[in-house]
Amino acid sequence: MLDVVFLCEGTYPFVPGGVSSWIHSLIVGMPELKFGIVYLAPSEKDAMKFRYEMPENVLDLVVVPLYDIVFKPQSRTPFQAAAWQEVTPFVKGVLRGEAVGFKQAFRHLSPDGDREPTLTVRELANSYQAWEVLTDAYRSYFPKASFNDFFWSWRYAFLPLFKLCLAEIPKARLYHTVTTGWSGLLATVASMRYKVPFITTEHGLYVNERRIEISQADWIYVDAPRRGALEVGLGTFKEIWINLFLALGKLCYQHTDRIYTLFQGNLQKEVEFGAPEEKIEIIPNGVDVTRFTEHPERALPKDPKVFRVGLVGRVVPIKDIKTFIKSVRFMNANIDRLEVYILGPTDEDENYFNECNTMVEALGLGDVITFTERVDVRSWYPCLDVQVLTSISEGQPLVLLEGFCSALPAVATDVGACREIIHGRSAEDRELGPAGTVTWVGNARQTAEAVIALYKNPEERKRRGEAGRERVFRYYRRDQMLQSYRSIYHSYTGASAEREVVS
Amino acid sequence: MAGIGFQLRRFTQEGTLKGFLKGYYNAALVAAGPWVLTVISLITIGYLMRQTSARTELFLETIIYIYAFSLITTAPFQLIVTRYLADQLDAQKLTAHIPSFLSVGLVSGLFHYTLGFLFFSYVEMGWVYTMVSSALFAMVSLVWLLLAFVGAVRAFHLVATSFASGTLVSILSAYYLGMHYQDVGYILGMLVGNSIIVVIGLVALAREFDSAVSFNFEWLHFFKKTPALAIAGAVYYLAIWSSIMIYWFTIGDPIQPHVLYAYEPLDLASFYAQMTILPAVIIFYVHNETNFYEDYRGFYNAVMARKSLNVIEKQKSILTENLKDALVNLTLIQAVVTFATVCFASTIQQALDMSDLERQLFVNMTLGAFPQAILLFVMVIMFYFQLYVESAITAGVALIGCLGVGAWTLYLGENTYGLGLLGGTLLGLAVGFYLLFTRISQLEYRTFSSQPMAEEVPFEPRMLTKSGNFGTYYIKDGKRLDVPDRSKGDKS
Repeated sequence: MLDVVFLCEGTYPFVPGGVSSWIHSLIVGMPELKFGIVYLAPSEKDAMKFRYEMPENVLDLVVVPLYDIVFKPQSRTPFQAAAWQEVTPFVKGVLRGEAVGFKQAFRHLSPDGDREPTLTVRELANSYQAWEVLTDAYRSYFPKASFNDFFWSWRYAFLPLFKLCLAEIPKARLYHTVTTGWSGLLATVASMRYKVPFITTEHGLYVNERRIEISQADWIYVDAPRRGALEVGLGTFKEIWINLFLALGKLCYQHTDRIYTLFQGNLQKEVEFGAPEEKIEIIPNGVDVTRFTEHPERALPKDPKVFRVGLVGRVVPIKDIKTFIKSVRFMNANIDRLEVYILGPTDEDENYFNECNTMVEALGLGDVITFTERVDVRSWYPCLDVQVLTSISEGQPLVLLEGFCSALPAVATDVGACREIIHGRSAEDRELGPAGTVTWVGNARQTAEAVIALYKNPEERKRRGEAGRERVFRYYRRDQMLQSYRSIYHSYTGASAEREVVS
Repeated sequence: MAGIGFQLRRFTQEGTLKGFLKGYYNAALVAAGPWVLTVISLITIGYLMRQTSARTELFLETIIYIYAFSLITTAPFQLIVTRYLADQLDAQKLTAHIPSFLSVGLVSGLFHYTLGFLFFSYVEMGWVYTMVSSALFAMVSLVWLLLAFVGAVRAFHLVATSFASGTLVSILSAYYLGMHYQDVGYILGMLVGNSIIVVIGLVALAREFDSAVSFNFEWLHFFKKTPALAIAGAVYYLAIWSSIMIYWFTIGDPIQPHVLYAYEPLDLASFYAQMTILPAVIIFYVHNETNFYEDYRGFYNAVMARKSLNVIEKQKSILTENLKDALVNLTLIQAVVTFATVCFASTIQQALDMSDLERQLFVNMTLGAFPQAILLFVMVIMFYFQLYVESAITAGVALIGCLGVGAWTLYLGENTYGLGLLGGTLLGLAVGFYLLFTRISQLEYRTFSSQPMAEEVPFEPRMLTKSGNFGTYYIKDGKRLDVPDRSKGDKS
């Protein structure tokens, strides 16, 4: 039997990024444990290209397509009416953003040992009983909304949910989900199916990220505001989608044994989203400092006359690259020889990348800004003078900590753990001094001013860089993080560190 | 039927007597014209034949066989291509009409000619008779198919002209050719007349829809997509004709040795009886294309215009209530016509020179035509709601009923012959009503749940692991498995 199975949605091992690297380091760092992975892909038509060399202690990897609607042939079972009665509270709760009645619904949705679920996905999607449940929910909560849109929201929200209850999950002693949402649901299903615990680690807050995404989505119909309403809300259908993820988050929080998060800000929001505070513990992320301090190469030659600013991250809306580009315009007006590098893949959202490129051209910054695509950042940090992060949502951005290894000060938005990383978490930590500047989200001028201030004061820049280096060495080392998770895993799996390494 | 439907709504919404009459006149031309003209041709040619002391049985039975079987065998083509054209009209694609007509004409022509050839070869009346009769079988099928297309033609006076001139040509050429070539000549005359109908109809289509001469076989997919529709059409006509055929093959005599069995007292009587449903057919046609269509669109517009469930349900109630009212009204109209026909049966007997037995069978068939007409309406409404399986079941029940009651009448005596139609269609109607209104009561549910999802992927066993759950192992027990890359469309 496997020791730990990771439940990953759109991350490890097929999509690179902070969370993926973190999972990889945990697996590589604990060769004595046997790991499995369940990867939730949007569709089986998505290219599944391994982005990490798979460690030998990964014994099982299952890919489950999430949004492909497939009706698995299942035999009908008796007692349908009773089953529907037990499923209804859960379904209606999800539409309100509540996680109620999943235990009662579970046996009708998921196989349990040799027992097939009572209800088939087709029945859950298309039967008259399903229709009665959905119209009852509609009449209770959204009686005036467009029924057509409600129906489609229902289908697209619930079919993946029902389908996930039928997903393959390898047996293990412990399940570890790295987000709430769909992975959290799968972890809940795994835990109930095999009667074993699961733990949750949240880097970014899934509910929060989905809320931002859904608010900005233009594929969801927004109904007209109520007559006389002073405030224009998100509309019924965006609310339904947000409620779905809110409910999945609560479901995960209810059933998980422990919740690990990276920083204090996350903890507070998790409590807001329904997590019991007593389950939450902070384990900050760590970096392998030697990988950065002992890297001999430089991407660019030293040139004291040039001021180099870098943003390390994927070119995607959540990183708000457009605000960064706008801030470069202000920087460029105040810094003599400015070079700006956006270090990260551009192929994840090609439309957004094209828009960024157009913006660079329109602002006349073609000679200043360079998109480098994917690079070995270790050879870039030493070449930069300031690192900037303009994200609208972050967990605990490792790129800031990696930059600190090279004494690179940071200007970052006040999201996720950025404030803790730059100013320090504990009193002792804060005594080290700030390692950069924290700015508001979406404020290009403030970002630019912070960079310009550091440009104009090289002494302060150096001081802040050193504070960052000291902070990462003291509080954010990977070996500390690994040790924390090793003891967690071992406490659940009963394994000891001396156990034979998987060959 | 966008073209004629639009015109009919325009006429009936004028609110004047002239507009009202014009609407019904036009509906009569399209809905009942071909059938009336066919019967007129048969009666006139039969009358002319008797004047010239020609032998009428072979001609009449050949024609009856051709019409009976062509209705049964053409119905699947007609309904399938109508279903296809409805989708095309919905998508505003008007270029599909002519290529579809040419291709369905080709497929149906070949099919019917071959079928006719095989059948008429057994009549042993010589190769000319076989060729001409098979050609007429194929041509009459083309005429039925043409009816599926002309509904979309706005200039349907041209369609009316085609049927009227075709009938006239049929009568004249049959008379002329019959005098020189006897039976074959009469059949050839009908062939010429029907060819005229097809040619003028095709001209009307060509004027209406711009399209190069090409073929479009897309409609064939609907045989696979909606097989119940094709079955429903064929079984409905089989049910109607089985109530006549049962006498052909039991107590009937062969016109030629071993083939063309006929039970003459019933054959023409049934043709006359069918004429009694024409008023109701015309009224139904107008209602269908005007009020019902508006209610039907009203329901779907409420769905598409993002209305609340409350509004959608209200539209459904309006539709259901209006439909019930319309069916009740049609039943009353048909009841009056049937009652009057039965009351005046003796007068009709004298006018058409019928025997007493023929009169009784005419009455029996007229009684049967009453529920048959309502059954037809119910099935058409079912087609609108895409209740194809239900309509096939309804037609199936009617067929069983027609055969069952028909067989029973063989024991009851000749005065009851033909009552199979009454029994069978009443049975079918009961089932049809039940299925139609139970399904309509769940119309909103059926409408939504039948919507396909763009992300729906057909199930394949490979989507499941050995334990029967969704997923694909890329690594199992430490071994990397070879999983095909489906992003490139590799389905192996």
